[in-house]
Amino acid sequence: MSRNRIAWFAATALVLACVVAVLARALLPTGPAATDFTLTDQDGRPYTLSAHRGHAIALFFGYTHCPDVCPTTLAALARAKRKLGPAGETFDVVFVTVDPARDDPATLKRYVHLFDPAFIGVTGTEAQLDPVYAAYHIYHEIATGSKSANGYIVAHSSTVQFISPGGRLRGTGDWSDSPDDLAVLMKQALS
Amino acid sequence: MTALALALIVVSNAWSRPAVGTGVVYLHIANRGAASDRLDAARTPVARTVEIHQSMAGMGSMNGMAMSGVMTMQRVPSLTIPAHGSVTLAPGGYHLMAIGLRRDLHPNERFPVRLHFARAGWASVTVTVRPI
Repeated sequence: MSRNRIAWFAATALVLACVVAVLARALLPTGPAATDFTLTDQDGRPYTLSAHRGHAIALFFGYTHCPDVCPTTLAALARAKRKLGPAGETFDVVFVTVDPARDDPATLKRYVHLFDPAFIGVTGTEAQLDPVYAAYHIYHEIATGSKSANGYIVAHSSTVQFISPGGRLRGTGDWSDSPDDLAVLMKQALS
Repeated sequence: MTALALALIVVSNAWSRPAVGTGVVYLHIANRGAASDRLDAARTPVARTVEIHQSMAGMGSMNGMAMSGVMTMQRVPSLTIPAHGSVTLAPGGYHLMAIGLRRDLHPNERFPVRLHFARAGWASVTVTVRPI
């Protein structure tokens, strides 16, 4: 076989491999579309999910009066984001409150920025929040049974949902995941 | 009596998370004594009050869909430290809840906490807010 022919075969094989890769990318499931919403961010401005296409997003639901599970998750997300290096800088972590009565934008801002100055905290009216909880399967219930100086407790789903830059749900984790595992989920959402 | 009793309870590895309003304290309590003891109160100057809480995973249901992984908490009146045993307060389990924080807790800062044990009396520990 002449050297030319080998080069020709190699080039054809490379082109075919690229075509297969592109087709596979287009045909493989990419996850369902992430339901859009508009809430209010930590600066009191509207936050619309779909306005952030081009950024991958980790969506976590919690509340600032939650001292254990919520800070554990936010700290792990901040570490996971750092593990991604420069790619992590375009990864938005969005903390949606399950306690709008106590979490106003100013409180959310102080809270999320303790973990990462780029973190976003969003709230809204119950009428605005309820469809978001439903769309992302976030159970939440105010539990008043436990007599505590902290007031009521909000039992809530602890899932973290990962959305691709194209607005597709690409993965879920939860509060107990290590920063390493959350970083894997972040990479998946970016791929 | 008090000094001897204090030496039997050893508190270590006290740490916390950044917080606004409600903070957390995790730590390790070892009981070197031949009798069990009970953590029944805690205080810190950075918060109005401190309670012992336990996080738990439970079930929920919404729109006809059942789901696990619903996290909740309950207050516990005290925590028993078995004789020659230990208890670790850690994320997702037992923790001290610092309620009514007088200031926000930032990474790397330190604050004191005093723990009261039914037998051993008061023990002091310095808590570090773990960096992110």
